[in-house]
Amino acid sequence: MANLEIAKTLDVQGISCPVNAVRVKAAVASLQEDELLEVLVDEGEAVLRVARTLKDSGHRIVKVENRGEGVSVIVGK
Amino acid sequence: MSDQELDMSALGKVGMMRQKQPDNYVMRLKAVAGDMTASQLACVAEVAEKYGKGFVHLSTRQGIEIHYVHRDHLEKARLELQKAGIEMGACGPRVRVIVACPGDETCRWGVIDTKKIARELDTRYFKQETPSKFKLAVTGCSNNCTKANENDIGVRGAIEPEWVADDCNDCGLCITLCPVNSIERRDNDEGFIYAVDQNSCINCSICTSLCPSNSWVIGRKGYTLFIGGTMGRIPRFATVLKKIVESEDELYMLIEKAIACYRNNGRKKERFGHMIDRLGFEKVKEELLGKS
Repeated sequence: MANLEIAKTLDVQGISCPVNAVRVKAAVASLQEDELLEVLVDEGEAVLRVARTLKDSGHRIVKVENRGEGVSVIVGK
Repeated sequence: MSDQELDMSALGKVGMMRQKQPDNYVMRLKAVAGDMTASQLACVAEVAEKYGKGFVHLSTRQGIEIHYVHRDHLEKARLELQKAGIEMGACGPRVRVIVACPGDETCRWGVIDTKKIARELDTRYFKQETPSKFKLAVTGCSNNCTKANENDIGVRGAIEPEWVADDCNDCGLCITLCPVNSIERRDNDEGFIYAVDQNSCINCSICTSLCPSNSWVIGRKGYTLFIGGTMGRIPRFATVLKKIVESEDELYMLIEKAIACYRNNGRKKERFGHMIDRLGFEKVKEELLGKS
């Protein structure tokens, strides 16, 4: 993925569902149209929950990378 | 056999079991797929109050039992329950109440109409005699809430995912979400492809439900059919007979064959799974599916 300009980073690792997904949703809502947000989230149920919330609210996931202990999810508006 | 013994075995057939307390019985009620209406529940409460000790016991198979019913009250209690449309459950060497999760009616992961299948299986097999007890379960997806693989016959909703290149933005979410790491990304002449290993895929629908660009679609949908599961004294997880059974007709045909096979080959008190181990799974599979 070239030219990803990440405007903000949000770490929701260690925060349980559904609070993690709610925080991600709020952070994406405050993004400008051309900005990207990098979310750091726990593996397993947490990333599934966050992905579901983003899909339900119509936001786009640009790139996902599993870093072993946590997952980086890059999101656009 | 004395009259009392005869009476006992007749009661067992209609879901009434003797307790260790003399003259006290358990009334096991039938709730197909675990469903009961509110007014039926009110009737159960009334009967438990009137003829039992004012409490009910929830069984491990989604049923309700009323305990401490005196044998002289069994028939009256049964008739009151029957008026509310509540039938008795089953005990002994026969087909037990069919259990099911709520399925696609209310659950976002459910991929099949579990209750419809449970009701159909109930109509076809409930209380029929088998060499040992025989349990069937229907579960809507790979989350396996009703534990298809712990039953003599388990039906589990299944989808087979298929990747379509068109809108895929190569985000890689599917690789991270797949619970069994069955999805792989490969470079090719046109850029990239995502591929699923159908052998290790558990047909769960996470990729098809959550893909942000809807590039994972349902290729085939159906039922995974498990045979020979049991817990109890000698536990045995069920074996997959067929990973995707595509039609309801085929599903019922295979279940019919499986039960017939058990009736023809099972020894008295031998569970279906232990019969399969004795004969060999491949032999049973061949009998049910034909030579592959």
